[in-house]
Amino acid sequence: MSSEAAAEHAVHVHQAPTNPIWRYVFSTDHKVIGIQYWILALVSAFVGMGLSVWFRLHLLNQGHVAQLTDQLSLLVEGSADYNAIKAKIDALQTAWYHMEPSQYLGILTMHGTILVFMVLTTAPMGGFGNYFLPIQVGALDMAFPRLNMLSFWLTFLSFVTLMAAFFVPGGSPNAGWTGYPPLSAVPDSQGNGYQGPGGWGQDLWVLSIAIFCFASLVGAINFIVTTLDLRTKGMTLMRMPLTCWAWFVTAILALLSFAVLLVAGLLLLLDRNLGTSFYVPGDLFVSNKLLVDHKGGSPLLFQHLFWFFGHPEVYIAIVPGMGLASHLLSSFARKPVFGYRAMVYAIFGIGVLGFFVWGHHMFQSGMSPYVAVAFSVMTMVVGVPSAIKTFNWLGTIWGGNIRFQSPMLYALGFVSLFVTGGIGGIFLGQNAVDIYFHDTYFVVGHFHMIMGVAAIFGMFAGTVYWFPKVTGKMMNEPLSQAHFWCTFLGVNVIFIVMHLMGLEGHPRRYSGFAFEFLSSDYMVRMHTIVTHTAIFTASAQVLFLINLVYSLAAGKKAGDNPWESTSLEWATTSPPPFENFKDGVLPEVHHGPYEYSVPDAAKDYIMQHDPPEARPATAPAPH
Amino acid sequence: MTPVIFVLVILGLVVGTVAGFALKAPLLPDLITEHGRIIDQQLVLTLYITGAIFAIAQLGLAYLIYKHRHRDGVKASYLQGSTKLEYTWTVATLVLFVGLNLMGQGVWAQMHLNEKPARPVNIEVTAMQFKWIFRYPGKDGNLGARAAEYINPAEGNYVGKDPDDANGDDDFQLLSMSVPYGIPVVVDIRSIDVLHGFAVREMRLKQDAVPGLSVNIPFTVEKDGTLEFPLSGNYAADLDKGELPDALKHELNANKLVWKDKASLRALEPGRVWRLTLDPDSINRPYLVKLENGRLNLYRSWYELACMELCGYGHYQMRSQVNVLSPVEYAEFVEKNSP
Amino acid sequence: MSEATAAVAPAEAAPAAAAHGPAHAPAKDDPWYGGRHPFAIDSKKFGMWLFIASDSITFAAILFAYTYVRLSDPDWPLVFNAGSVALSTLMTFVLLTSSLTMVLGVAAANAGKRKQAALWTFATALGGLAFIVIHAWEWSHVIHGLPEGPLPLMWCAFFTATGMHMLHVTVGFFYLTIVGLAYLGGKFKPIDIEVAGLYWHFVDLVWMFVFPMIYLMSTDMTKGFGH
Ligand code: HEM
Ligand SMILES: [Cu+2]
Repeated sequence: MSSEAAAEHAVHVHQAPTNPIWRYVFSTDHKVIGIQYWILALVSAFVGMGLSVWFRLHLLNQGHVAQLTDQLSLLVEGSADYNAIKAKIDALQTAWYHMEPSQYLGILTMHGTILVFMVLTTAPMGGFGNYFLPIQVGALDMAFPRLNMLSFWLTFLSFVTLMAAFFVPGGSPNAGWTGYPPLSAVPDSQGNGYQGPGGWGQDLWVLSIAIFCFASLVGAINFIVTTLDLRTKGMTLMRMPLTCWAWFVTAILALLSFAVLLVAGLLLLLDRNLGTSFYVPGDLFVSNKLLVDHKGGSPLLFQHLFWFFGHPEVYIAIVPGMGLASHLLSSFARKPVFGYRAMVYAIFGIGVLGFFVWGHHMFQSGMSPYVAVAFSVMTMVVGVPSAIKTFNWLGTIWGGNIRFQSPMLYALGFVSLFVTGGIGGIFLGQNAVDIYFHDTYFVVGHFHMIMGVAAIFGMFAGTVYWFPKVTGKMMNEPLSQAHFWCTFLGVNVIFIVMHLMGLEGHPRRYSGFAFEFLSSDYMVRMHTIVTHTAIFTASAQVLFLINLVYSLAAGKKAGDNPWESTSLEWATTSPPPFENFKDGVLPEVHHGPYEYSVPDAAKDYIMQHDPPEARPATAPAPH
Repeated sequence: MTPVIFVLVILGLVVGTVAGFALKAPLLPDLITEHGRIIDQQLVLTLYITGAIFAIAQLGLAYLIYKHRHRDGVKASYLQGSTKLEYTWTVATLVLFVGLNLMGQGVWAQMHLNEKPARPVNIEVTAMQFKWIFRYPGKDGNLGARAAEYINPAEGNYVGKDPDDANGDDDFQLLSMSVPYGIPVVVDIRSIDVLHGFAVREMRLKQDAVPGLSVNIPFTVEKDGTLEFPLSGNYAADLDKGELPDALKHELNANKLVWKDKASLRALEPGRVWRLTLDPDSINRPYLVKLENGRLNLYRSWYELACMELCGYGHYQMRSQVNVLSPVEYAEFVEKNSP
Repeated sequence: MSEATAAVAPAEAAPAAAAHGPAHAPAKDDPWYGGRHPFAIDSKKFGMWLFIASDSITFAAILFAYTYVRLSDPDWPLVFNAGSVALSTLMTFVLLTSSLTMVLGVAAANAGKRKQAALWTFATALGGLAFIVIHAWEWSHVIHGLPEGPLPLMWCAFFTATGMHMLHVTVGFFYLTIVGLAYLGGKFKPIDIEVAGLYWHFVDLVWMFVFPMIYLMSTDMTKGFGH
């Protein structure tokens, strides 16, 4: 078969289906699937954010109630002042956003689960990765388009299952996003004699996660095979954009870690429903009686399995953002990535070392204290590649000619947030210091900073950067910038203040202020700042929505390569044709991914598929 | 314009964050344990180091953003990296991070790895939804055996104390914890239902309570109390008589120290140190009044004990308290409570 | 997946590149070694290897859980006797035999002997079915003999590990049957048989861990053959 014949063949079998159901719903086209994932993540993000605003309001409310109650104790019962304050308290306790303690935990659990799984794990990989990995490596589609469709629909099923947990008898699961047993394993254990959740919600939660594991496994296989097998001619590994490296490493992490979460969930499901006792020790005294149908298990077993998945998972959320940040910093600083190889090694280093640090979530769990020392040292070692990446990002813009368009703003914001969030890790990674910080708001601040917002800034960056490619229209620049500033300011305030609350010892997952040190003026002031800023920041997200809708309807028309970037997605039309490249003829790659400002070159960037001559012989050798 | 805003925002971020930490007074809650001092040192050292890293990295970012902002006619340099720099910062961060970590292992060993102190005060801590139960060995120093089969809510025996074990005859249990200062204590932390977390901020102590497991943690409280506020009047004479003058009552009230039932007062060292206990019959909140440098100071000797591992809807109210007593008071406390 | 994959699968594309590319092997310093696509490995085969990597981790996690709870119990019961070992050895034998027939099937397929390959594949599936039947019989026995009260951890681990494995065998049974039929009907290629073979060998290999860890290490031979 000649190459023309191959191309013809490709075009022939790779035609867009005409029926809209197959084209837009049950599509096997990686671009459609990418958009589906992205929309799923967007919806989930807004649901998750809405929940957080709700419980922030509740918390602020409870802070005031606690302080008013203190005042009350100073007054004479029945006096006018007393009655006034009493009325205020009653009003607060019946506000629409007031929550029962159990409901609070349910909403908190759903918030964490939705955001970690449905947003942080889907959008960077399933969304952007699906759409752009095949195009960036020069392929017509993913290696297994039908499995790709299966991944998405399984993820969707998982999402629906999780949402159902809101509505079943007993309400949402309330054991936290980490779902530690025995609380999650023994339905009776949700509180002494308390008729509350502990029913189906927790089962649906486990089920949803198990389905999610399958979906991620299938997706990971697809990503790895596509990266290694389907690169177009000339796209050597060391010519792949760092985004592709990041997706590749992320896929490996997902492949090896979700397999363990699946087991963690399976055993939990068995413990809950079929009378096994993997996580349930004997002689538990719950709901005022001895539990007789379990014996011998260990709650720590779950924690080991969960965090063996959990730590790689945090990298699954952030690594694609790291790749994209590198890509954008280079593209908008018009400069090669500083230390491309070091970046690749660092991503791999993070991936490999990330499997040996899970115990840092368990320093205080009752795990062997000797093992804790080993985990602690390993944790500090895994901080090194993260630091290397930061240095290289700074190196990339050093000597650049930075264009401050919105994708670059988000990328720079990513770097700043990553630094701030990573620094929390230096405290927590030390087993001795973690004695003080474990399970306080310091941890909450740390992981929201880095995994919550840094990773989400990666998604914002990806959205504005690739929007023109996907839709053929530019997003509105002033709106993007306004959204960036509001969000960047807001999240910094919220989560740095949470670090301060952690320093004061504020425990996480508290729905009220039953402690004296919690209703101190300092704490309540901090809670007030956090809640107010959270409302502000959440409202600012409307700018983003408006921008999406507005740009989709009336955005400026984008050319093929509005940002003057070099990677292959900019070598095709906006939006790309069904077969990604014109007539399904794959481009041939002759250059590295970050050939910006090459000395003596005609333009200030050389695209990957430009002919070899585009790069002057006089220019220094590529990395 | 944009780079300038960016620089200003980062500047604000750095200044605001540094101020947030620097102006937080006190930086950390009061500290009463010996090992806690080392933890605090390590924490503060880390704070300085990372604070510097934070400031340098963010300001560096701002500097680069401004310096290399787009200007017409300027071309970016074609700089692809520097192996020498890569090695330098890799080794530097490795040494810094691991070194910092190793410095903290001493106190970890002291708490978890070293042999437990000889002849400590043993206290058994049992966590359950949503309360803490503390069992003391009584005068014989030995706790009676326990087993789940003996759990009997009707008699308040949640611990599962074996009624036939003679060691347990003088055991007593309470809902709050009292410890002597200056004497090593070992707590045996356990749970009878789900996970809980034993944590006292001022003790820099935190340990999950795991059903099926019992974890022993040693500590020594090295202070009899922490300064709450200085008193304005001099009530020494009244205090020695065991009387609480109205002026003092008002002063306490003004500082939001209100008590429901009554207060008890006794001199620990007449003329110098008095024990003032608020609400002795219900919550029992011990304070000290001390005469120091010619003036009276009020010290607090009780600290809140919080649950730090999600344990169900009542997690947020799973509260108890730790009272710090003098060794003499502690002996009396054991005497008084032993059946 | 098959058609769309075919369009981009290297197996299809490689000859194309060979046709217009240089006839000689690419030089070592050529940045590109492969044809249009870098690796000659078939995507499906590679995908199956990755699935196996992931699935081994799943089994490893289950066996880790088993080891974990076992090590934390100083008097772990030895629940099996010589009779159960005889039975599980028989199961091992059946499974190993099916691996052999699988090898023969793959060889026949690669040699282009369509019918023979399909027959070997069906024989393999039958071996799997036999395994399931014996195993199910064993399960029902165990279930009937369970003590009152909470399910002992040994049996929790037993049912989970062997159940997970049995699930894989069951999936394999259908997988092999479908692949065999489709290959016979000309819809599938030899590579599909080979990929199915990979899966099957993996399932056998897992048993080679389950058998000693779950059965042999929990056997008290002095207990004889009865139950
Ligand atoms: C500089 C490297 C990092 C170090 C040394 C580090 C260290 C730690 C440690 C020790 C904890 C446990 C704290 C505790 O529960 O007491 C923790 C929690 C966490 N970290 Fe990091 N971390 C680092 C970077 C990251 C990154 C890059 C992410 C995600 C993108 C991340 C996400 C999380 C999450 C989600 C948790 C909390 C999980 C939970 O308990 O709910 N961390 N980190
Ligand atoms: Cu981690």
